[in-house]
Amino acid sequence: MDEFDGDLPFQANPTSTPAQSVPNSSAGLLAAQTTAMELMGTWHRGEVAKLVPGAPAENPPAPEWLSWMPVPDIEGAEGEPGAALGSGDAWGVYVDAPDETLELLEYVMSEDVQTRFAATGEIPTVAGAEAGITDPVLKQIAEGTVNASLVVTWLDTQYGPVIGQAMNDAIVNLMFGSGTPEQIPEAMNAAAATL
Amino acid sequence: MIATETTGPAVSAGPAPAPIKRRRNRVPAGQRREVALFVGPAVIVYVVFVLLPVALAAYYSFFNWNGLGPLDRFIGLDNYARLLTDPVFHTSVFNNFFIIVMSLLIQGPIAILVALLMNRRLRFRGLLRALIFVPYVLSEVTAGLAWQILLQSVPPTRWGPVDTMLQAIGIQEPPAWLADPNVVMWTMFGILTWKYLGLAIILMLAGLAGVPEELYEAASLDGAGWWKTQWYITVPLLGPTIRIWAFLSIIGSLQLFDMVWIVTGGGPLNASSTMAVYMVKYGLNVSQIGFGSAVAVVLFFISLFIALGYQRFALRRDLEGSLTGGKRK
Repeated sequence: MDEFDGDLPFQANPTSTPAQSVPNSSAGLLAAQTTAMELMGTWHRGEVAKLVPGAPAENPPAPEWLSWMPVPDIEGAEGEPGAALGSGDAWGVYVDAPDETLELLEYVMSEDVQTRFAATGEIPTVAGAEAGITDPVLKQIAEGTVNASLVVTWLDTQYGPVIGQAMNDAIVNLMFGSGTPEQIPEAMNAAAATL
Repeated sequence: MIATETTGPAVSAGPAPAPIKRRRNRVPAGQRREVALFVGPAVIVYVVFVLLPVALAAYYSFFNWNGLGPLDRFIGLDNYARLLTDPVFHTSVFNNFFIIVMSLLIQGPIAILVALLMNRRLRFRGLLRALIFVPYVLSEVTAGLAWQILLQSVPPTRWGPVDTMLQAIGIQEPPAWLADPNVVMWTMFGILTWKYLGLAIILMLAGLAGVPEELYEAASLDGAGWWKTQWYITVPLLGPTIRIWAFLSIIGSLQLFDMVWIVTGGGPLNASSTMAVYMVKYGLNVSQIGFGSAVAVVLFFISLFIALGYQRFALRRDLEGSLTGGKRK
């Protein structure tokens, strides 16, 4: 952070920039081509496409200049190369649910259904179904996930809301306030102690 | 049916008739039933929806509880210790008091001045009154979103609609209204003033309507100027209205939540957090119901303390008799 010398490579007023959904969000800034890139998850393509000025409300196409890449590894850094943060969606099934529930899920998770699901502009979760992806940006995103050595859920999700909130606050403090890197684990530990 | 009334002096003068021996509680049964019938529902609602939740919040605040499952992790005063040592909570309390003090110092005088101006014979007076009251009638969410859009920075420059207007009149570098931690509370105060000044003005106008015209005539015969007349006649007679408005303003400022939540969510860097925002963000939203309850209890006691103190010292002369059953000390 010190290398940036107080001049962070961000848009103006980053502390009041929403993440997505609105034109002055970081996804909106990218969609309007007023910023070069944003840190974004797997829903990147859909968010940016719908915020492109003049985009149709129904199934907006991804702009041809849009691209996606995993956060690059830092050479020599600790940790697993190729590790990625990502979403962790799953099906929750009640223990006493009838057998038909599993049958339905098996159908939903079949290669055929997932391939057709992919064709609607979503990223499938079943190997082999990626053939259904036609959108080039979605292909990049799907490949990023497939090629990752491991995928960890977003840390503020992984650690739960209490520690996650403390972590996010401490990171924002580090970047824009007077926080230090040491204060991030401190804040997380303090939050964990209240659980 | 024709009601027969006997008119008499409102205050009986002279020696009272021989005192009738009255015993307390000797109220006819029918009347008692009537009282129970009218008061009962209100008492039940008050107990179930006010007293009981307050008591429950106080109870929960001694537990580490996420809102589900049994209340079995008693932690004593730990939630309060955590709360009172958290710098974000300190900021939140400071912000509440910032809004209280600024409202009393700035909104009150502006409201009185505007009310004095509007109390004169003006063209379009009805229309002006309606316009001034419009922000107060708007829903908090609508007004908050409107201000957020007006004050936001819009790509590709960092300037939003308000900034562009200011630049048109020569202010080239307006502050970052919602993004600068040192500016955001002033912005919030501006929005709240815009929203609630209308109510203050309407209250003051109602108060002014109660000032007898003869006093102004007498003052003008005595040669008092406009300012002196306002200072020595209007303002003192407006006292009860000002005190009630100030009370509403203080309580409203202590409970401030919705406008902040909509416009900034308490940010940036928690710079615009208030006690209620803090309670929702670090209590409800992260499922720490015990901790959130502790915040609620602290907020409750601060409000109660201020409200009772204010009634005791500032509102006493206005409320005299109404709370003490007509007995004067």
